Amino acid sequence: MEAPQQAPEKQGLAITAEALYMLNLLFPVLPLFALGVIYFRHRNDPSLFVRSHVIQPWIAALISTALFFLINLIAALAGGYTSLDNLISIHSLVALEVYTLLVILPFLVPGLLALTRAMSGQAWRYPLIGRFL
Amino acid sequence: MKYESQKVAKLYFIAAIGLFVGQILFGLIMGAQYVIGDFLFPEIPFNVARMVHTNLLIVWLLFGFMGAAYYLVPEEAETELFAPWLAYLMFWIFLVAGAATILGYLLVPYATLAELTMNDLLPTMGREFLEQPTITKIGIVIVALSFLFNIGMTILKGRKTVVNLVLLMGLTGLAVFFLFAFYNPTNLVMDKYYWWWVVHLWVEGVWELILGAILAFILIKTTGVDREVIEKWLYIIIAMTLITGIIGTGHHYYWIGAPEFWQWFGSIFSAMEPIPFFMMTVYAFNMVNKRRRNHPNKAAVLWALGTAVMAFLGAGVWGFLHTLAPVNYYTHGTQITAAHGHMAFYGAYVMIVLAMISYSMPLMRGREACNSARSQSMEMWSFWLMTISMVFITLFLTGAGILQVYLQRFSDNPMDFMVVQDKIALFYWLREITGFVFLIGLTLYVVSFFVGKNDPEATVELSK
Repeated sequence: MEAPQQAPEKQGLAITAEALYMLNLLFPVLPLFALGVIYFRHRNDPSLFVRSHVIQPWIAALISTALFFLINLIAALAGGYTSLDNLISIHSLVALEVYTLLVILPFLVPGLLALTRAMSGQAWRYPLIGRFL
Repeated sequence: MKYESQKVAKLYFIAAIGLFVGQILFGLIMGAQYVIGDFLFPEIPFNVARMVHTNLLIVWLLFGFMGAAYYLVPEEAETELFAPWLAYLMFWIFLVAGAATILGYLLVPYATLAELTMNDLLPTMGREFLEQPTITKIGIVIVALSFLFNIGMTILKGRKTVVNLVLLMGLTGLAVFFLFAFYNPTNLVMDKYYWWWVVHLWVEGVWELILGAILAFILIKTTGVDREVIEKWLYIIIAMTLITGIIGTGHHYYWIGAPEFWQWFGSIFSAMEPIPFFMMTVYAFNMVNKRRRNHPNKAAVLWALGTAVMAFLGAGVWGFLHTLAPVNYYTHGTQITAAHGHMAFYGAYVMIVLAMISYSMPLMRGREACNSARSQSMEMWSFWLMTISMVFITLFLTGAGILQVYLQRFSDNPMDFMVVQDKIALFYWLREITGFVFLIGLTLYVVSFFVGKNDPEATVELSK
């Protein structure tokens, strides 16, 4: 597998999409909106390279953000987040740990590989959700 | 191998691997003692097994770094080593001093060892990781200075490359910060404060420079990517390492009696410490994706990529898990710390030394580029066995740590330390079993050096 001589078209876009996906893991929600804009504008791009780096991070980011909300919802139902003074409590700390271990970790590694592929001008299939390409 | 004097590294690598095996054996002994309290007692008490386990780790990694430097520096500087005889002499001094120290730990009570080595003249013993007798510490300084002189003079007379200079900077830092091991104030806060200048500024500071330089060297050699590209990445990575790592020392100062501002400084800067590791992963994969040739030493490339990923997970992600002051308030000194320590050391430093050995050992043993396909296949099996078992060791220790925090520090009726240790014994059993898998992986790694010795070298076609 040799690297292409010239950077493929819209490589910057692919890198941005993957970077936004990873940023969304660390600071959920806001980067998701930007990723959504990229997705809706480029999801039908004829290039597999572009589609692979636009569609997959969008789907993966939706799942990770949903899990983020779910974990925090459980923390809230368990008695956390009752007031502003209570923001840093055992509930939010456990939510942070659970989110880091169960979401950031498994979602980060494919994102990392996808980002390096985007930087190298190559398409890449995420595990499991790669079939939606 | 371009320069005859590079062969010095072989001796250092053999010693490193031997001590690595010792470290793992003592790790297993200690792991068994977690669940069978009197296992091998009184011959090898838990505190002694722990001391040997951690000290062997440090010593074998130092042997590995020195070996890596003796191989890498002449090739980068395009000249023979300044004084190969000095490297051989220092090897034997270091090995004998190291072996004597470990035997001292095992054969006499620690207090007697302190008396025998006249610790009272300049007391430096009795602190975690720095348990070595003062005389051994002086020996380490002599070896480190001779080593630096040898490496420095080689660089001075040859070509100066970024890789060489970053490595030299890391090694110099290693020697300089070790000097704080001799500062042993009676005030406990001051003692811990400067103790971290050795421990933290080694592993989360200057050792990362050594890691970066060795990784850059391997990537240059195995991918054929332009040196300039790799060097630019290296500059940014080491800058981020130092920016985050130096003030990140503050994450050790939260609860030791240091000023409260460290809770902010430590949290903010150490939360950024994963960034250089993240960059290192992106950079390693990028270079391999953009490679200009397929190097037949597939095992070395695997170790190099493995280092980047595992260092990011172990040092970066697992470090971040408990680095924020409000989180650390609960997790400090629990098995979560042990989980982080295991994966970070393995990912960042064990794997980079093994990557360097994997790249250079075939060349030092007279091969053109790599070992036979059979040998590499076995080595890659060992990679996966060791790496996967280390992931599980980390996960089990994390599970133990989370339960420990809850039962001991958070529940409505907090339990005593030893009661909690009983409650989390299942995790310790699982860790011990995975430890044995790690040992099998390590055994395969050692055996891979003797397999397929007479087979032809693997080719690029075979390795695809």
